[in-house]
Amino acid sequence: MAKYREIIGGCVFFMFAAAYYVGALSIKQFAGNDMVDSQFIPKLYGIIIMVLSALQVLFGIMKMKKDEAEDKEDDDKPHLSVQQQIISFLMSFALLIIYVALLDSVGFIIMSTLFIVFMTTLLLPKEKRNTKRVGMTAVIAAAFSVAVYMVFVEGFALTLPAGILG
Amino acid sequence: MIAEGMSAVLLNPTCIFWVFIGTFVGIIFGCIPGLTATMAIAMFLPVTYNMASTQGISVLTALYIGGISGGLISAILINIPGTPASIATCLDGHPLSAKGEAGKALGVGIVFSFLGTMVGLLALVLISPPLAEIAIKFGPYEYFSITIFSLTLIITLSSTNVIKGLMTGVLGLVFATVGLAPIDSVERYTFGNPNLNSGFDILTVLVGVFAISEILLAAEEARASTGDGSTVITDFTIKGFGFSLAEFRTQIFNMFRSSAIGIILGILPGIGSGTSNMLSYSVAKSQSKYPEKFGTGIIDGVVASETANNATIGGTIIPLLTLGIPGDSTSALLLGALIMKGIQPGPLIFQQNGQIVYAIYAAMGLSSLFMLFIMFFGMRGFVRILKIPGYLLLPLVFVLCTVGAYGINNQLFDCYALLFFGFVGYLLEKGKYPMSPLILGFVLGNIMEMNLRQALSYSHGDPTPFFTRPMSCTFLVLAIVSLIVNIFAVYKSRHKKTAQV
Repeated sequence: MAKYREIIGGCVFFMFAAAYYVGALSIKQFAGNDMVDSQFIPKLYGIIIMVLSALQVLFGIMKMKKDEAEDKEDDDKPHLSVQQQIISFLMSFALLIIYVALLDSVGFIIMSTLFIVFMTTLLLPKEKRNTKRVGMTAVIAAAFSVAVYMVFVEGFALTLPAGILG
Repeated sequence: MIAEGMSAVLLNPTCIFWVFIGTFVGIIFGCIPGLTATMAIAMFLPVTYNMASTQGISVLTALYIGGISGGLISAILINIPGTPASIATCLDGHPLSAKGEAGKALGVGIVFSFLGTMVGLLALVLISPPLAEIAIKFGPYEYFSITIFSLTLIITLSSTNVIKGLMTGVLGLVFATVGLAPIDSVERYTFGNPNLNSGFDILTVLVGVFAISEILLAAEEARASTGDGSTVITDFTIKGFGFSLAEFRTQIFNMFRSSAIGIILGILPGIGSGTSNMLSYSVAKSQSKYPEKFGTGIIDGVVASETANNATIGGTIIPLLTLGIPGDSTSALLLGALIMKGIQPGPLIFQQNGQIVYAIYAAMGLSSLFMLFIMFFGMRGFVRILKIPGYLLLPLVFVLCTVGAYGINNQLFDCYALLFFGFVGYLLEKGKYPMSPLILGFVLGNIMEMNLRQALSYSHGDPTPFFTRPMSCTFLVLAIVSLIVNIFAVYKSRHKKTAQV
């Protein structure tokens, strides 16, 4: 994976820049013959990134060939398998999205408590995951969420979604 | 206005209280690895939304000082820098504590952090007004050239890989193009969503890229961790400041040199404490009469790193106040906070909002005193905080970041933007792209484009004034020089590396 990092990164950037450039073409223009209009700067950025990412891919391929010739191990430390990393990432990102998505309807206190409990459990190393620890976390999470809500809403006059409790 | 600003902080008990809290929380965030000064400020933003502007900015300044200073505790005691600003502190701080002189290392670190902050503050007070006098005469030509110069700096200095640095820098510029275009207010990349008309808020970009991405990365690594193998040194003794007057005298020159490095790097846009501590350390080492002793546990190394990183704080605020260009990503948050309060930093701030400037001065002085006090008496307590597990802290930090994003406009849109930039930051981190160019690109993008188009409309499309106006030309020349120097430096270091292999 690490071997292809430069090439993958460059390709992603290139595709993004290409899409961005195409997007720039449909920016509305007022009649006028200024060279620097609202399309100019986005087009320029798009071209710069496309050139840079092409260079990155090129250098990446060159470096990979060199590394292969020297048969060098490029990886830093032994990590988890890529598959497991992706699963952990997707789960936590999904958790973040669910939290934000339900924040308005369910409310800050309930969602924050649930979020902290689930997220902490997700982050806990496997050998430490037991009911006692999760229970402790739940208590901390609930106390924290209530405290934050009270402090911000009462103390700092901020609006936070009250949801079904409100 | 001087009296108004100073008294708003120093004669107001609530404000003094908040500066104390800010410093305290900043130190905690600083000393816990993975939590940074930037996160501390991001987390505290919602607290300041309804405060008076002087009070709000004072709390944030205090967090900044605490956050940069706190990193030395974990650097010295567990050999993990609490923030990137203390990376070089580990090099001599930890060997010192391993020798049984943890008290001395901490004492030196704390006192010189304080002195560094004070020298930085002095520079801020002395340099800002004359700089603002000059900057007040700047027109769009000069501003455009300054932003170009700033962009070359960050992009080349922030990483060893110039191409990747440039890519993230331009990516930041790209994100800045979202919203209504400058001058003619044409919609760009809004996809018909009215929330995007004013573009992304700097706070969501910064917090997303620096804080949310951290949480995602931690989540990914969580199952691999088998408990950290580091040992926390908890028993140490400290008498007085931990070092003698004679030892202090030997460090005076080192202190001023390190402060100067810290201040200069702070002033340069985009480069902050993360760089200045390392540069200062290597300069101290190369100029020392006994360079071979560096790394074995001598106070010179701790002095160089800790003085420089704190002096940088004053330095980063100089361009923030005088030009509206933040000196590093942490001060970019201060910029966001000021704008939210309806205050536009720039040369006019001294006349229009002078009380803010003096409040920042007062808060810096007060907070560094608190820092000295809190760190000396709280040292043992902070060591215990280091034992709070990250798996509990990160979710709490995320909840507070969400509160901050929600509070910007009272809508969920900004929370989604936060997640989006968290995802972007995560991908960049995975691809080993440097992050700070993105923030500077984002901050400078609109300033650059607006001034470019304004300048061209003044001169009816003729670009020659960029080169014929003396200040504008100077900055363009500086931009070219910095580009050449940096590319040359990268080339040289790479050459050295291959020679070593």
